[in-house]
Order: sequence, then structure tokens, then C-alpha cells
Amino acid sequence: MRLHYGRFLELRRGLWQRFEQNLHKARQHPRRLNYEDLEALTFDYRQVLHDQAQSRYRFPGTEADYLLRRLAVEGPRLLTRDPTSLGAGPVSFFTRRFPSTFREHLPLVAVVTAAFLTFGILGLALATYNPALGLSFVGPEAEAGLRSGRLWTEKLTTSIPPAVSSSSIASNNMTVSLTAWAGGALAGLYTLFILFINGLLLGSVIGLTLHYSMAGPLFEFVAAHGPLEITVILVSCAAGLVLARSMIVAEDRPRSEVLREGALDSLVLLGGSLPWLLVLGFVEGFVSPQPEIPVGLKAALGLSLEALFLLYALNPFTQRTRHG
Amino acid sequence: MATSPTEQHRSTGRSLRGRDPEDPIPSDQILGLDNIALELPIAGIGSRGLAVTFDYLCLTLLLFTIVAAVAFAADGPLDSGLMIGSLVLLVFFVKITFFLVQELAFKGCTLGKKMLLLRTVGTSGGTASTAQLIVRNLLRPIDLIVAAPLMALDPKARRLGDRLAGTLVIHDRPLMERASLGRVPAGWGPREVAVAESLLARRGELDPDQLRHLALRLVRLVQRDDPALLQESPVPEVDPVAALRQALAAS
Repeated sequence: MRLHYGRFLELRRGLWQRFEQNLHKARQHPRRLNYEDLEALTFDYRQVLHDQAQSRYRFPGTEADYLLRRLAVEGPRLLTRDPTSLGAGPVSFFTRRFPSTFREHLPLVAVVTAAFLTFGILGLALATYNPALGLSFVGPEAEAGLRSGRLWTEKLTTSIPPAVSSSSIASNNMTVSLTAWAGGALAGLYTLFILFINGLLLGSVIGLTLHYSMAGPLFEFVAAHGPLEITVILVSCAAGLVLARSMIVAEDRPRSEVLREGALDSLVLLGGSLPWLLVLGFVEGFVSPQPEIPVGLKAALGLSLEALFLLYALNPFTQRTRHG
Repeated sequence: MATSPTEQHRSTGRSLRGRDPEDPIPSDQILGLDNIALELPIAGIGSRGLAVTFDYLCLTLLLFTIVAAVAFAADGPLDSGLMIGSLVLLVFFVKITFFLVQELAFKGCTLGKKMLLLRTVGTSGGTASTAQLIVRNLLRPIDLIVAAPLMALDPKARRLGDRLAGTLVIHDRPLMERASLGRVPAGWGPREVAVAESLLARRGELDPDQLRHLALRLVRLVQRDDPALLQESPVPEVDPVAALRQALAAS
């Protein structure tokens, strides 16, 4: 039986107008909505959606079709929210969501660490057997400093106020972490590049300082902040690779679903580790360059920070379930 | 031996979610509640490009204002280490969070999007979640390089951040008042109805002679199909638009 357009309007227009008015009111004062209002609105939306499907095929181009298409698009703005969630608040995020995600992706963090060590050993070997090549990695300023028996980090105590170096270091480290994470969106290639460059650079620096007998001062400088800084950057690289893996490997699941899950997990890893760089910025700006602080104390601080991060990330006090 | 649909698609090299002329639900189709197809007004690369350009202008202005305000507050050269340090961090956070904070505060809109009536939504048209907005905004630096070709090639005009976050940017135009028919002559299909509604909705914009001519043609159709509707109408030859409105009980 063919539905007549006039009859369609006569039967359904009241519902559309009611839905439009209620939607408008709900948007104006969303907090005044109670459960019954919301249920009625949702029920009406469902009917509007069905009418839209009908009008789309039976009465295309008509006013009813136009109005229903608009209402079908307007409705979800108020009535639906994407289920993607980071957890029930910041406390839950840091105490449950991040640790469970970190544990889930621990094998990838281990792979990233192994790759970083490999690149580091490569840099160390290059700088040891060919110091000239190693010097080309660290730049002319550091090269001149090393030749005259000074570390380039000395300027942190001589020419730059600690507050400035601290905030610059924190923002620089966060940029590196964010770039390592976002690089995952380029199928992980840029993340791997950052991992390679940083590993090679660190290995070269160690090799060069050993060559110029400056390893002691370097260790003294990095002892307080180095271990955790490297860990956080490696976690960011692992987050980038989680993102990349979701772009490449989908198996038989819908790609959009896998992408969303990967993006969310990688965001959790990044969000849980990034705040530590603020702490490290402070340590690197105020503690690391100070010659008055004994090296033993700096090393103890560095190891304590690392242990604290690992305790927080692995969180043995929560159940080992996905997403807490 | 029977094979599963997944295996069949794998063996023929066809994607399960790719475009298939026999597939009733193409991959670029947006499905709402009960899997009913929604026609979201997707924003294209042009309007989104304009919006983001405006946003970057605002960001530049904001950063300039912050630096100027701090310099003014310092009442001289910025010689305090703490002040410069704070400024460095403030500028960094403003740069990173400028788009994100706006999209969180204005439910998917930035200033540029508000100006061009655009909005970021989830894939089914619902409000995007906080996590989605964070992902799409943190990927912005990468998108500065790859967004344009991706958006140009995608029927939903999604940049990389949109794909990974599961978001879309749509036009957010308010509902417009349109003519609506109270009565429909017997035998009229959607085509005739749409023409009558469109004519009555645009009667203020059309050339008076053209309007009169078109209205008269429609009145004659009403006369042919359902003359009873014209019984109480004014004489069509004198005022065909009024006669048509009366006959169709148009709002």
C-alpha cells in the first residue's frame, strides 16, 4: 500500500514538531532534563529516524525529507556521546587505566627498549672507533667544549637561570615525547626515526665523553634525571608504535574499531607518562647542574624517580584486568 | 568445502569494507541508531582550511598578547629567570592546547569553526568524547603535512587525526523555516510536492513574473488532479500564489 504524502504529514508532523521543540528546550537548559524527559526525547528521536528513512526513499526532495534529515543529524548531538572514554576521572586514569594499559603493552615497551639499546650500542661503537664521526653527531659547540675539557651542559649553571633552563628542558622533552607519539601516525616510521636518532646520539655522547675522559662529569650531570627521562621517552615511542600497529594490523576486525582502540591506548600511555617530564624539567634545571650536590645523592634521586615511575606504571596493587 | 565470508573476500582480494557495487551499505555510509543511514553534511577541505587558518591567526594573536602582557607586567626587560621560565612553559602549553581547550569548551567547535558554522562530531553524528578530541588535536602537527591529500581523497574529508580519533567535521547550520504543505492533491508524488514547497519557500526571492507563471502552472495541476482543493481559493488568474497557498494550506 502506497503511503500518501499528505497522510504522512498529517500523521507524523506533530511528532516532528514536538521533537524539535523539546530538543531546542533541552539544548537551552540541559541540566533541567530529568530521566523521563530524556527517555521521551530518545523515543521520539527513534521515530524521527525511522520517518527519515521512510521519507528518504518515498518522498525525496520534499520539505518533510529536508526537515527529517536535519532532525536526524541534530538529535545525536544531544542524545549520544561517543563511548570512547579515558576512565572515570583523573584519579581512576592515573591509578587504574594507565597501569593496566602499560602492563598490556609491556612487551612493546621491552621491544622499544631493546631497539634503543641496540642503536645506543651502535652509536657507542661508532664514536669509540671513529671519534670524528661521533663528533659530527653532537655538533660543533659540543665538539669545541669536549676538546677544551668542558661539557656543553655547563652553560646551564653559568649563562641560563635555572628556572629558564628547567622550563625550556621540560617543554623540549614534552615536544620530543609528543612527536614520538604522533610519529606513530605515519605508520610508526617517524617514531622509529626518533628512537634511532636518540639512541645513536646517546651512544655517541657516551663514547665521546669516554674518549675525552669526560664520562665522570657526564654521569654526574645525568644521574638525577637521565634514567627516568629516557624511560618516559621510550614509553612515548612505544605509544607511537601502538598507534602504528593499529594502522597496520587489523586482522578480521573493522579497521575503524582497531584504530580507535589503538589511538586510545596510545593516548593513555602518553597521558600517563607526560606529566613526569615536568618533574624531570625541574630536576634537570635545578638539581642536575649543581656541583654542590654530591653525585651519590643525584644518583639516588635518579634511581628513586625511576623506581617510583615503574611502581606507578606497573601498579602491583590493582587487579590485572584490562583497563582497571 | 564451505568458506566463511572473510575467507571468500580474502581469496578474491576484495576488502570486506571496501566499495562494492552489490554491497547495499557502502563503506563511506554513516549509520545512526538502528543502522539507519544518516546524511551528515560533511564539511569539505575548503571550509575546514579557512577555519583552521582563522584559528592559527587567533593563536598567533593570543601568543603575541601573552608575551606583550607579561612584558608590560614586568615593567621593563624580562630579567627575572622565573618569569621567563613561566613564560616559556605558558607559551608551550597554549600552543599545544589552544585547539583542544576550545573544542572541549564549545563542544566540538573552535573560533574558526564557529565562524564557518562547522562542528566536530563522532562518527555517528553524536558529540565527540574528550579522548577523541585529545587524539585529533595532538595529531595536528602531523596533519599539517598530510591532511590536505588525505582529506581530498576521503569521501568524508577526514584528516589523519579524524581517522584515528573516529571523528568527522560537519556543517552546523541552524534549522531554517521552510514552507510546509497542509494538504496534498490526490495523486501528487514527492516530485510535485517538492516543487510546490520549494516555490512557496522561495517566493520572496523570485522574479514576480516568473513566480506568477510557475504558480499558475502548479494551480492548473491542482485543478486537474484535485479541483475540490481550489473551491475556497482566490481567483488563480488574479493571484496564483495566494490561490496555491490556500489550496495546499501552506504555512
